Amino acid sequence: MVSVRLFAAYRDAAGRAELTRSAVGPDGRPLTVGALWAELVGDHPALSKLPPAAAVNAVLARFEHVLAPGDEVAYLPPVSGG
Amino acid sequence: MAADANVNVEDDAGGVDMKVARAALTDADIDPRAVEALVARPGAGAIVTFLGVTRDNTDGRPIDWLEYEAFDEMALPALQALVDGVAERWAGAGAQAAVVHRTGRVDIGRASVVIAVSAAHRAEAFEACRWVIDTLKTTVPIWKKDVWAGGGASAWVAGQAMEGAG
Repeated sequence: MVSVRLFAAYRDAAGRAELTRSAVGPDGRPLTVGALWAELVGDHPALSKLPPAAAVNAVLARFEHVLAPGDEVAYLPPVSGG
Repeated sequence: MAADANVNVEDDAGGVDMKVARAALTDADIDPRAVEALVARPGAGAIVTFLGVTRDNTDGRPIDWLEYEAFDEMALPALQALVDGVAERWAGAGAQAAVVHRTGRVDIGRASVVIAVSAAHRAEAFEACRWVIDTLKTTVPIWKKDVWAGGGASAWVAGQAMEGAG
């Protein structure tokens, strides 16, 4: 399993800040960061817009990054600090 | 105010290690004087302090307050990277930075972020302080929401794609 963190607009769209998902897809192969997002969009259509950035274990990661069990994936909407 | 890593380390020459940094997130009001105190040192000829504050409108629409949310585990190292970046980029001026960012509700006129930079001379202090706030806008996972006046409707502010820390 992997844990998913959602922030700001994504948290609102999904109705929750954290969820747990399988680390593998229906074909039994490990999911990428991007493929997991596609699964989330299937469950939460309000998440349709592709995030500009994601992080795995609190480090920026590419959408091709392959997930491992125990990873924490965070999808990061456009940031607006300051 | 919760300021982390507020520790000075003695270097080989017995002086203060200029690379020791200060970065913090807090859900409480920030005292700018306390942030300045983190970078004050005898060799500094200037301390520049920047406050980002909540204005009473967004593009003309009145707001009641801003709500800030941070991905703490990632935002804190990103803030620290800004502090380290100042020490490295303006090493010749002995620059030191401290940055404290708010989470939660920030009322009109209150600071959402306080950045203090000390340096030997004012030019470097201004330049480094400007670099910190400009870079923070794209490297720190923090989000703000406008809470509009009269009824509690709100919307996340359109931001910028996050990039690697500077």
